[in-house]
Amino acid sequence: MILLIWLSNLFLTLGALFFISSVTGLLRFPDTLCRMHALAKADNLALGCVILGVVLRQDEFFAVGKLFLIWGVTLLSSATSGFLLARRIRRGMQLREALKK
Amino acid sequence: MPASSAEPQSPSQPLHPWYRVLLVLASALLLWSICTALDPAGWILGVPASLLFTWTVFSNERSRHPLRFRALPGFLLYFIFQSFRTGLDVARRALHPKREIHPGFCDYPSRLPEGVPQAVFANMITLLPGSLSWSLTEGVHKIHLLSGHPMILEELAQLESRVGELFGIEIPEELI
Repeated sequence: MILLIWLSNLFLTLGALFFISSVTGLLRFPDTLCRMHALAKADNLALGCVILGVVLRQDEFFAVGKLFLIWGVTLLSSATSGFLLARRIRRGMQLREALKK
Repeated sequence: MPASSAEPQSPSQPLHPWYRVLLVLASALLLWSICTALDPAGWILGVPASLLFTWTVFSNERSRHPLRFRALPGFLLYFIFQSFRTGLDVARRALHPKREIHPGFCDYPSRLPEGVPQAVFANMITLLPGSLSWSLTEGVHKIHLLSGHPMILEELAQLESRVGELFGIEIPEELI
């Protein structure tokens, strides 16, 4: 039991570190598209670690199922929203270039 | 042997249509039961909602390349593994003292047929380390790279092959 708690603590700490790295990327990367990489990718891993950490402290089957469901849906929506946002950014860039001409 | 994307080959026989309907309905009911923790009162809404979901899935299935449910577990494992790799890669670049990024762009002409397989591939490109799909025009994916590394085209070809498997289309993992 103590081992599970320690493992849970480890995953929660890792999750927090990945969230920090994601925010660091958001602040340090030079343009919007680069920042999108940090937001669409490192956040997923951070959420995965946090969810694994919480799952290790759960003893109810349905709660565990719900937590994994949250992770799965977030992974899927993150990939799709990343593509849609990047496409919108491209259109904005094209519009700015057209206005310059 | 490389196979042409114009002549998709089926590595295995597709499931009977009724098995597919039952599988989607069972998945919807399983999701509902997880969300409501098997609350009996929840089934009053859950059963009609699951039936409506199944009907919506199959009434919109106009694609010539329906999803292969048998390939789904393997693809999900690949999806999760790539997510971990990608997250680690971005975290390393963000925290690196010298900010290890060299942004650039590349074009990747896809060998997948148009429609759902292309859209899934576009979404999945975002999962690979350092690549972000930002446009899809006439089968050519425009990709933003966080740091152009020589293996990216090979990785994209491998991902394309995986997406092809999901729709029963044989795409070689190697670039021609």
